[in-house]
Amino acid sequence: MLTNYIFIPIIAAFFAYLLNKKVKYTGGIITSIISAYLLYQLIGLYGKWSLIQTINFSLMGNNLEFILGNNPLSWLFALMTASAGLLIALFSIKSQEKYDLSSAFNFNFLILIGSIMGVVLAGDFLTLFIFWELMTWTSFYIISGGTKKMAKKSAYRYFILSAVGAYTMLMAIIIIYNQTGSFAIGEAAQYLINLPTGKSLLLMGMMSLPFLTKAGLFPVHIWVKGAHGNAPKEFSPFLSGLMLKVGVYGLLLVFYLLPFFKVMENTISYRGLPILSYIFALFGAITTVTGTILAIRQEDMKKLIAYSSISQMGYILMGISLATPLGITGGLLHMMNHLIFKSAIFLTLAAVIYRTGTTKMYEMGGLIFKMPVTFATYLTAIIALAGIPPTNGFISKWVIYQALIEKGYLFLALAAFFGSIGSFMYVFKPLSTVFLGQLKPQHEKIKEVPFIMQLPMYVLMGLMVLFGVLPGIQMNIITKISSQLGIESVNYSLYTIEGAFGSWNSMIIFNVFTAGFIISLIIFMLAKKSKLVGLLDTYTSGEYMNDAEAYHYAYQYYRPFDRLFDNFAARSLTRAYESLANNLSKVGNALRKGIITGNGQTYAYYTVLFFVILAIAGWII
Amino acid sequence: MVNPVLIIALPLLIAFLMPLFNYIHKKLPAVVALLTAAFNVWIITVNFNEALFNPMVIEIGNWQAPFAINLYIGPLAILAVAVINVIALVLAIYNLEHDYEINDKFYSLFLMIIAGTSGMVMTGDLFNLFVFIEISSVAAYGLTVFSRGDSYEAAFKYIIIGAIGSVFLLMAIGFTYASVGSLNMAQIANAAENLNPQLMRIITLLFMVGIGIEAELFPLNLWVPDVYSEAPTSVTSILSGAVSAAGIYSLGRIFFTLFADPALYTYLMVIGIITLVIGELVAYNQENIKRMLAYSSIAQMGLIVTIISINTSQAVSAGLFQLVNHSILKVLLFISAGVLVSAAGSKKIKDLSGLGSKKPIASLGFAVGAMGILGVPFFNGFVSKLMLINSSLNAEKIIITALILFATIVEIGYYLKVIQKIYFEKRETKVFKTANVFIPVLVLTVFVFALGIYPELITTTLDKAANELLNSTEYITTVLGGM
Repeated sequence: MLTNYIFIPIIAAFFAYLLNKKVKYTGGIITSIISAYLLYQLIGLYGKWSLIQTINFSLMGNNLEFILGNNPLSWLFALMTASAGLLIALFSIKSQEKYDLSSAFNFNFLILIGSIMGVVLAGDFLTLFIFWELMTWTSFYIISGGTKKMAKKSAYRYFILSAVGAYTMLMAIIIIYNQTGSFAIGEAAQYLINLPTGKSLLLMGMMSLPFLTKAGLFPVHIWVKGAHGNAPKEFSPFLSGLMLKVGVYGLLLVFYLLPFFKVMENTISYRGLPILSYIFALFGAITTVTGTILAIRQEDMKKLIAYSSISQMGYILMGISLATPLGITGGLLHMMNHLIFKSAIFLTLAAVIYRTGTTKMYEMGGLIFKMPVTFATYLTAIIALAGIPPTNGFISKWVIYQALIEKGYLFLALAAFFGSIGSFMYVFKPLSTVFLGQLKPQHEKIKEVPFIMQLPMYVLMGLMVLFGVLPGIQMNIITKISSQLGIESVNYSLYTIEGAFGSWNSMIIFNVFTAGFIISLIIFMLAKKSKLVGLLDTYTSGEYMNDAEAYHYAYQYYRPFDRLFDNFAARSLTRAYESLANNLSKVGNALRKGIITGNGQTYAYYTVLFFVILAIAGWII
Repeated sequence: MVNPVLIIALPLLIAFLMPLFNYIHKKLPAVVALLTAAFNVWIITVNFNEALFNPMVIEIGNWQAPFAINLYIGPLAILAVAVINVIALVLAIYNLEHDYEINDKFYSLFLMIIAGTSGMVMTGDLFNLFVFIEISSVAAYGLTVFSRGDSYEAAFKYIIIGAIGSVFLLMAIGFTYASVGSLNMAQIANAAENLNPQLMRIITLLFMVGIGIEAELFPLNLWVPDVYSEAPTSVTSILSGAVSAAGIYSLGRIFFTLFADPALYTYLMVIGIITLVIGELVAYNQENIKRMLAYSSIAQMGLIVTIISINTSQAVSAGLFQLVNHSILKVLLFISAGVLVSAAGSKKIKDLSGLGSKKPIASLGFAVGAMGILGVPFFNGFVSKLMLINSSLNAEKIIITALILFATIVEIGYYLKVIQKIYFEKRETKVFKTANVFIPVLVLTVFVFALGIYPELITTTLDKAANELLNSTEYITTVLGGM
C-alpha cells in the first residue's frame, strides 16, 4: 500500500513530538526506526513497476483522483530518501542532546520524509503539489530552528523563492486541468504534445520553475548558501544530499515524462541539441562555475560546502539536459553519488561543530589528532567529490565528461573541467585548515564523536568505495530509469561501464590500487621505525616558538585566486532580489502614507468620491 | 420544527433584559449570552437540512408575501447564519474568561450584533435589511469603545463612514421603492428587468457604496484598521468573522438576486482586486499585529468579492467557501493574537518574540490560523484556494489569477515573519498572565482540519447556495408562490 509510505511517517511525527518532550533521545530513535522500516519496505517494492494506487475524492463537482504509482524513478528517490533519513536520524540521536528544539525537529523531519515520499510516488500533479507544499513548510520550520542568527532570514528567503515557483506551477497545472479534466501526469503529457509549441513550452517552463528553485540552479540559487549554512547541523546533510535532488526529480519529470524535450525538438537546434535544452545545459554550466568560484572564497565551512553543492547540481543538470544515454546515466549516477559523499562531508562538519562549537575554519586546526574517524570520512568524501578512482565520484564525473565531449560541447566541457579543478581547491581548504595544521589550545580536550554518530560515517565511506568498485549495482536501477524516460541505456556489467571512447573497468583499477597499497604497506613495515618529531621542530628548524596556532595558515586561504574574481563576486544576485523586495515594501509604505491618512473626514470624502467616480465611469462606458 | 425567527427575536429580547440579569448576579450576563448563542445554534441545526432542500419562507405576522416582511431561509441563508452563530458561540465561550472590562451592556450589544447579522442574511425585504444593518452597525460602534483609549477615535471614524453609508443605502432603497413600488426582494427581482438601465446602474452604485462599507471594499474600508486594532479582541473577532461576512452575503443578495447586471461584475472584480493588492501590500509593513491582521482581513474580503464577481457557479461556490473559511480562521487568529498581545503587554510584533513556549495554545492557534489562510495542504484554506484558482482559470481570467497568487506570496511574507518571531526566538522580558483559550482554539482548529481533510462536509451546501444566488427565478417563485 503506497499510502503507507506517506502517512506512517506523518502519524509517527506526532508520537515522536510528544515522546521527545518527555525523554530527550526518543525523537531521534523513532525517526530512525520509521526510516529503517520504510527502507525495508522499499527493498521489497523493487520490481513491482506497475503498482498503482488511486484514491477518489469528490470536489468542485468533479471527481478528483489522487494517483500514487511506483516506477523506477520514484523507487530510486524513495530509497534515497529513506536511507538518508535513516543515517541522519541515527546521527541526530546523540548530536541533538543539547538542542532545545529537538522535538520540533523530529516532528517536522518525519513529516518531511513522508511528504517527500508523497512527492516522488505521486502519479498526478495535484498530489505532487500538495506534498510539495508540505515539504516546503516542514523544511522551512526545520531551517528556522537553526541556532545561528541568520537562520530565520535564510529560511524566510528559501520559502518565498520556493513559493513563487510553486504557485507558478499551480497555475500551469490548473490550466491543464481545465483543458483535460484530470491532473494525471499521463493525461497532461498527451495534452501538451498536441498543443501549439509556444503555449506548450510556456506551460512546461512554468512547471519546471519550482524544481529549478529547489535544485538550487542559477538564477534561483541564492537561497542555498543561507539555508545550508544556517540550518541545524544535522539537517544540512539532508538538505544538500536529498532535498536538492527532489528538484532534480521534478526536472526529470518535466523534461522527459512530460514532453518538454520532445516539444523542444520542434525548435531550432544547436549542434544536434534543441536550443532550449542547450540553454538548460548552459544554466547548468553557469551554476557550476559560479558555485565553484564562490565556494573558494568562503570562510565558513558549511557555506563553502553549500556552494559546492550548487556547483555539483550544475553537473547533474548538464548531464540530464543532454538527452543522450551517457548524459542521463552520468546525471543520475552523479546524483546518487553526490548524495553519498555530500552527506558524508556534511556529517563530518556536523561532528566537528558538535565538538568545537564553531563553523569558522580559521578558528580550528589540527583536529586530525583528536578526531581520526571524522578525518578519514572527510578525506574519502573529498576524494570522491574531486573524482578520483576508486571512489564513486570518479565514475559519474567520467561519464558526464564523456557525454559532453561525445557531442562536442566545448564550452560546457570547459566549465565542467573548471568545476572539477576548482572543487579540489575548495575541498582541500577545510581539510588543511580544520584537520591538518596546528591544534588550538582550547581544543586540547576534545574527543572523537560517539559511536552512534560514527556509524553513519562508516556506512557512507563503505558505500563510496563499494560503488566506486562495483558501479554495476547502481547501473541496474539507472538503466531501468533510462528506459522509463525513453532514452536508451548504456552498456555495463558489474564492474565495467562502456563509454563513448572506450570502457572503464573498475576491477582492474581497484586491483592496481590494492596492489600498490599492499606494496607500500610492506615497504613501510620493513623500514626502520620512524621517530615521532613534534610538528613545530620541522617547521621552525629547531627554533623555539610558543604560539604555534598563530602560524596556522587558514584565513583567506586562496587570496590570490579570489582576487581574480573579486569583480565577479561583487555583483551579487542576492542583492538584486533584495532590492526587488525592498521596492515592493516601499510601495506598500507609500500607499499607506498616501491613502490611509488616519483622518476620518478624508475617509468620508473617499466614500463620496468613490461613488462619483464610479457613476461617471458608468456614464462614459 | 422550531421557528427560525427566534434566531433574531430571542437575542434581541435577551439583550434588553440584560440589566435585569446583571442585577440578579454579576456573572449572569455572560452565562445567559452563552446560552442564547447555544440555543441559536441548536435552532439552526434543527432546521439545517430542511432549509437546504426546501427553502423556507417565514411570513412575519402571517401577512402575505409582497405586502409584509418575510424571511427567506434557503441554503445561502442557513449557511451564513450557521457560520455567524457558531462564531458567536465560540466567542461567548471566550468571553467567559477575559481580561478587560466587560459589563452587562457589552453582552447586550453582543447579542444585538448576533440578532442584527442573522437578520441581515435571513431577510427577504429591503428595508428590513437596512434596519438590521443599522442595528449591527450601532451595536458595533458601541462595542468598539469598550477598550477605552484610542478606540474612541476608531469608533468615531467608523460612525462617520457608517453614517454616510446609511445615507447612500437609504437613497438606493428610496429609488428602488419609487420605481418598483415594493420593498420585497422577490418582487424587486421580478421587476428588475423592466427598470430603466440607467436608473438600475445608479441604484446599484448607491447600494455598492452602502453595503461596501460593511463588506470592506476599497476605499470604504479604511475604518477597518483602526477599529480592528483598537477594539477588544472578541469585538474584532465578531466584526471580522460575522459582520463583514454578513456584508458580503447581502452584497451577493443584492447584486445577484436583485439586480443582475453584467457590467456591474466588472466593477466588482476591479474593486475587489484593488482591495486585495492594496490590503496585502500595506499589511506587509505593519508593526502592530492587530493592524496587520486587519489589513489581511480587508485583503481577504477583496479576494472573495473578486471571485464571486466572476459569476460562474464554480466561482461563487469557491468564494462562499473562502468566506466560511475566512470567518473561522480570522476568529482563530484574532483570539490567539489577543492572548499573545495580553501576554506581551504590547501590540507590536517585535515584542511578541519567544511566546511559543510560554503560551503554547495561543501560539499554536495563531500558527494554525496563519497556515490556514496561506493555504497549507490539509487545512481548510488550501481547498478553498484551490477551488478559487480553478474557477478563475476556468473563466480565463489569467491576470486576476496572477494577481491573486502575487497577493498570496506577499501574505506569506508577513505571516511567516510573525510565526518565526513567536516560535524561534528567545524571550527575555516578562510574560503577563492571560485568559485560558483552550476550548475556543480547540473547536476552531477541529473545524479547520475537518473542512481541510473532508471538504465534502460542506460542498453540497455550497453548491446549493451558489445555485440560489445565480438563479433568481427559484427565489422569486418560492416567495411569491407562482404569482
